[in-house]
Amino acid sequence: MGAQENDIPDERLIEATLSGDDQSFAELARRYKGRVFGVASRFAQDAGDLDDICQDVFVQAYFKLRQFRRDSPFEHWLLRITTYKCYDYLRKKRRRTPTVSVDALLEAGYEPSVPEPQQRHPDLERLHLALAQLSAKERLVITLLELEERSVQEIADLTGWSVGNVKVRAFRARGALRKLMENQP
Amino acid sequence: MNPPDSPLDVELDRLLGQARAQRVDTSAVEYGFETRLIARLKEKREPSSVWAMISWRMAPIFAVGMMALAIWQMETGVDTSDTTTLASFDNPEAADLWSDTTD
Repeated sequence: MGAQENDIPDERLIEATLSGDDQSFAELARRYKGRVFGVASRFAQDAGDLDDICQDVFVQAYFKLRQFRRDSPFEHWLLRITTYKCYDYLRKKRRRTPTVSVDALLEAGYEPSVPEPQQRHPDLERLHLALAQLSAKERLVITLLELEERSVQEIADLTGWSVGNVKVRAFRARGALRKLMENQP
Repeated sequence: MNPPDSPLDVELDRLLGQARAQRVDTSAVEYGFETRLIARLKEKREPSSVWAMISWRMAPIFAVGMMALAIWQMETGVDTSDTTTLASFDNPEAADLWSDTTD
């Protein structure tokens, strides 16, 4: 991809996409896929799920592009869609998988996130297994706050929840996580 | 409620810090992403899906049309149980006979 394409402002790429130029949208995807993949990889269980979430994010962005009000950067709007898609993924995954104990998950050979080349420390493995046991809302808020280091205000903007609601949910999520860690062997 | 600096909280903060620092390498999944995305967008815009969407959106219009037809039939008193008319479709001779009588 040339330097010239990098110089084109998002605004022009959006206009071109709305006029039917798919390559302009491909350029937007190339520009922001790293940010979307970065957030989604905190939630996806494997590489297939990660690809699905990210494709869903950009497909929704493409079909809702006319609704983008342009009062904030395109990246912020895209990350709001990403947050929603990650929450939706967690919700659906929880519906498919009934709540089971961490021991049962380990016995079943559960892989808590995208496979990594390096071996995780057993303590970190315990944390990821506990995170997998949280509800979708708890997992979302604790991941955005503690792992993505988003502020309460940013989380409120991303989720559409009030600042007070984010604080309450974060407090409860941390309590639930602590309890799960406490109960682990 | 545990105090904020309980050993468990300290341990949890330590683990969360480690998890935060550990970023997953997604480059393999990102490879060819734009190509797959554009292919999926084209698939979603195919005429078959457009027609399916249009036909679903037209369903209420068809329903209203059917209701209007039913009301019109009731108002004008057209008797659809006319055996001569129905028989004409099964028997070509009867159809001719029926057309003769209408002339």
